[in-house]
Order: sequence, then structure tokens, then C-alpha cells
Amino acid sequence: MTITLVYKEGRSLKIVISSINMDLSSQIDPRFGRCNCFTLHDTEKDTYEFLDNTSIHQAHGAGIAAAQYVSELNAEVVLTGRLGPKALRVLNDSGIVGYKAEQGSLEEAVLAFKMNKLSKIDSPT
Amino acid sequence: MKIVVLSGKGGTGKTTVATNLSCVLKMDYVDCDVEEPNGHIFLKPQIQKVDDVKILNPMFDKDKCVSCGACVKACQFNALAKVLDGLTLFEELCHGCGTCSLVCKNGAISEVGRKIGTISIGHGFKSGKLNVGEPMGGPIISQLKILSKDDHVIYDSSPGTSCSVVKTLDGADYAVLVTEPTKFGLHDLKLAADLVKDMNIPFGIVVNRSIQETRMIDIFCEENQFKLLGKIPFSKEAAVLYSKGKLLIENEEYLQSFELLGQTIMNQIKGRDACGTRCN
Amino acid sequence: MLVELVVISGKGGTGKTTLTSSLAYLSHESFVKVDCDVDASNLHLMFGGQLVESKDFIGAKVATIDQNKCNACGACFEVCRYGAIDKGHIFKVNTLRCEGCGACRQVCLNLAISLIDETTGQTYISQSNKGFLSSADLLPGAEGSGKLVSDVRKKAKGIKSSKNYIIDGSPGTGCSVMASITGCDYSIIVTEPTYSGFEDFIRIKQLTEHFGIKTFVVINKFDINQDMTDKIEDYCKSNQLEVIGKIPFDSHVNEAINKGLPIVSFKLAPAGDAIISIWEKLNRKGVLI
Repeated sequence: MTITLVYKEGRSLKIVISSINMDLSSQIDPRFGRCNCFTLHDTEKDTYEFLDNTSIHQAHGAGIAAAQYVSELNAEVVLTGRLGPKALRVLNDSGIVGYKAEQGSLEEAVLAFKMNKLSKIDSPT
Repeated sequence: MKIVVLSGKGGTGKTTVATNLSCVLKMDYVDCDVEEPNGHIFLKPQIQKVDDVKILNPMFDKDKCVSCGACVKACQFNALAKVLDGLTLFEELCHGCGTCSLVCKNGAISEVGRKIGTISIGHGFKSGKLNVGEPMGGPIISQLKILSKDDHVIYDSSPGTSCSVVKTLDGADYAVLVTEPTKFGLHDLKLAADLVKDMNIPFGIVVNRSIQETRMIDIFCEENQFKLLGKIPFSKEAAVLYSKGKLLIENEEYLQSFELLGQTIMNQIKGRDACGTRCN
Repeated sequence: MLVELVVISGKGGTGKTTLTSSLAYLSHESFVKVDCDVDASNLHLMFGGQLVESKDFIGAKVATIDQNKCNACGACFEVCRYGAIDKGHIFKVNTLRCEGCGACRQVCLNLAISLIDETTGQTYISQSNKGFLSSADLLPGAEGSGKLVSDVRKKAKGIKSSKNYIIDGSPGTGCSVMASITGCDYSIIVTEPTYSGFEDFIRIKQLTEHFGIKTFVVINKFDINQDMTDKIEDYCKSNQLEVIGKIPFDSHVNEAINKGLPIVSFKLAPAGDAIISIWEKLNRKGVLI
């Protein structure tokens, strides 16, 4: 299944960003499955919500659990540094696209995504 | 009677001791080191049968599945994920426990066997082999134990003290701990001794590649009142025989060492010390 | 870009830790040492230093039966595929056999069964004049070695001053080894010229191919069987694998281990010289900078 997503201004989208801290000043956490926490950004309401990542404690399949969680949030986009093969598979099969953002602040990442400057994560890293 | 040969540290001579002992004691040999089985190299058995070992993985009936996600939630190993067109199974994480099919109220989950390895069977010989890329050898070890449950067996385990070793040790009458007279060997011997003590399995220690002057294992045994069963001396001859895939007992001196070791182990199991007098 | 180099062997006892400890000794203190041989971790015997952090590791869940709620119906016993329910006057969970799958909990109508976290090991970060070491101990017989290896690697990555990672992998080809090698940039397979060693080498090499890692080969104690060494080299040649070094049998190695020193710290030790050549080759190739 190939999905291409081009952001258009005004479009309502839920974006999840793997984050280090649970506040707006946070930097991106380049890991996905075992990142410190998730930030959920709603582009229509322009809100940021900070959520715990309980997948950290999983024995195996942290990436799978994290991807499932993101799917339950009804997010369509994930901004993160890298995605393992299992997480990537669950995200893709759930219709969610991952974009590569390894560092910088949350707002910088969201802005870069909206300007279509981030590249899609097509294969696992 | 079930004897298990194990070692904390890899490469100390588990397989050397297990294969040579099985010959002098005329007991069956079962190779439970399913990730790297080596016993066949030395015993050169004629294999009569090769069985597949399968693990049960879930299979989903899309017509009956209502996407409730109960199976995903119930799986303790994150082997299942709910996706757009149904369910994704990550086979390598699946333990074959059947929990998902238990929780499905719609009968949408059945189970299918997936091959993870093989068991080769010859006369007085069984060996398990896990397919490369498969993470869990446990089901193969369990199957080996079932196949040999009525026999007098020496089990060759994997190195270390992991769950594979525990599965091999489960139900053993006696454990033979193989070590080498080095700092690493001693450190790892302590781990192995802790394990067999926790499992309440009587045990003794064999020092392989023993060098006259090095007494660190002797001292350890004395301090802890562990039984030192015997020593297999280090020699270039032994190293050469081993490297060529030959049994050490082809050499007369080593044959005598192993016969004495075998007798000592049997006496220990029957509750007598080496001189034949009963002891506790 | 931080480089992760893992040393593995397939077969135990081929000299993996001997090589890793020497490479670690030769490396700059900013190189983090990672001991993924959690069943029998030995690197701390040489690089232990001061303990900086020690944490409980929860490796598994186990089922537990609340005797106040249990009515001995036996449903759990019927459903357990691991023989982990001891039945009788009292129903109990055999924690060594229990895999924490929760099937018993699903079928207990009295809600007498729960799954509880099991501490199965400890992770450690320690520091010596040779830099940081991330290691762990798994309780004998405990489950979760794969996850513990992942934890040890994750903790190593959390060390701020880290430059590169030298990882001592586990023996075998199962989940512990896979967790040791996944995501690494390079691997070195240490093998020995024996029939068992050769068979095990082929299997571990298949695993590195499965993971797509650039792999080098080191033949340890190569002079105990020159025919076998030739066979290994031929095999490597036909499979486009580079033999990056051959270490001769050297009685100083045991002496070094017993003194808690890496062999390269000994002068005039042939094995030490061979490892120094391997180290220099790795540097020339840009593997560890």
C-alpha cells in the first residue's frame, strides 16, 4: 500500500511527534518505540497534547505497541528519527505515514512538515 | 535416569564431556543446544528420522473477525497489531500460547503449525536444531524431553544459565557442571551452581582442560562443599582430537579418565562415594 | 555518526571476550563498552571500575494464583501449554516454567489469577579509566535475556560522552544474539579451526546475513589445525567474507585472563600482537575512528 500525503494549509490533520519532554519546549526524541513521550498536534485546532509512552516497558515489540497507540489516537502522520521494521509495518498497514525528523524542537518539526521539507520514511532504519 | 551436562561459560567442554560420557556409560545422548548443536560431529550417528518441530501460530478468519481488538490486548508479547484491513501477526514474537484464540468471542482465531526447527533421531541419539533467524528454541527442547522421557539419557545443554538451560534441567536427576580453571570459568561456574541449587538438583563439578598447578576450582569446591567429580587434563593431543571432531576416548589415557568420571557420577547418583561406602 | 561494532561467535569459548576486551582496551575512553553476554557477563572483571548506576530489570511476567479466590476447578491447568500449573490440593504456578502468557488468567472464572512483574536481573553502568561499561546480570534461569540485551544497549546509548560502541555479544543464534546485533554497523565473528567451530560459524554467518550487517572474521588459535584454518579461509573467500585477522594459540591468554588483564597489555604475547594488527586494520578501514 503506497500512501502519499501532501500537506495543504488549513487541512485538518493529527500529527504525532516522538518527544523527549512533555512540554512545548521539548526537542524531538529520534527513537519511536521507546521514545520518552509522544506529542499529539492537531493542525486544525492548533493544539499540542503531551502523552506518556507506556511502550517503553514492553519486553518485546515496543515499536508495535507504540504504533498501535498512535493508530488509536487517529493520527495520520508520525514525525520521528527512525522506525524499525515492525513499527513501520503496523503504521503503514494502519494508513499512517512516517516522516523523518531527528532533531530540533517540536514546532520546528511541525513547520518543516507543513512546508513539505521532511522526507518520508519508506524503509526501516 | 536423566543426567544434564551444563556450564556457565561457553566453550568449557560441555559437549566434550557429554558425548564421551554417553559412550562410557552407554547412555543415550540428547543434544539440547538447539542454537548450535555439535554432538553429532563427535558421535557420528546414522540419522534414521528427521521430524519437524512446529509452533502454533494464530490464523484469522476475516469473515468472523469483528475487529474488537480483544486478542491484541490479551497478547502479552505484542505479537499482534490491529491494522486497517484486519490483524497483523509478528510470528517471531508469538509464543504459541493460545491466549488470543481463548479470548476471541467470535471464533475467528484458529491455530496453524509453523516450522521453527527439526529433531534428528538416530540410534541412542537425538539432536534438536533451531532454524537460523528464529528466536526461541524452547519448544524444540520441550519436544526433545518428551521424546526421551522413558530413556536413560545424558542431555547436552546450551551454554549459560538462560531459560533454555532451565528447560533442559527441568526434571533432571543429576547435573554435571563443566568448567575450566580460569577466572571467567570460575565466575560463570558460580552462576551455574546457583541455578542447579535453586532447582534442587544434585550436582557435581568437572574441570576440563585441567592444568596441574591451577587449583582455583578445587578451592572453590572445598569452600562450598561441592563435589569435584574429576578433572580432564589439558593436552595438545586432546585439542587436536577435538579439532578433528573425534572423541577423546580414542586416546587410552582419556578413556580411563572418562571411565573413572562415569563411575564417580554413578556412585554419586546412587548415594555412595567413590570408595563404595555409603554417604549422605 | 556513532558506530556500533559487535563481536560474536556462534559457538561459545572461541575467544570472543578475549578479543572484545583487548579491542576495548586499545580504544579511546570515549568508546563505550557494552557487555551483551548477559548470561555470563565477564567484561566487568576487566573494565568494572566504579559502579555509577544499578537498576532492577523486569524481564518477564509470571502468573500468580490467589488462594483465597481459587476453587481448584483446574481450568488453568487444562489451558496451560507449558506445564506451569502444579495441580493438587493447592493449585500453584511453577514460576520457572511460566512464560507469562496469561492464558490461565483468561479462563479463571473466579478472577483468582493475575500477572505480576518479575525482576529477573540487574543492569549496571560503571566507569573506569577506560571509560564507561554498560552491562547486566541475568538471574540464573531467568527469562527475558533478549530484552535485557536491548536494555543494556539502550543504556549504553544514553551515556552522553559516548563516541562509538564496542559490544561483546552472546553466544548462540537466538534472541539474545539477535538483540546484540540488530542495528549494528559492523560485526566480527570469532571462530576457531575445529569441526564444531566451523559448523557454528556457518550458522552465525547466516544470521548476520539475515540482519544485513557488514561482517569480518577472526580465526582464533588458528595454528592448532592449519587444515581447518585453510578450510575456513576458503569458505570466507567463496562467500565474500573478509578474514581480518588470525590469532595464534598463546598460553599467555589464560595468564592474562587470570590476572584480569586484556592480552594486548602483555608485551611479547603473540596473540596480543595479532589483535593489535586487527585493531590497526579496523582503523585503516575507518570502522572505528
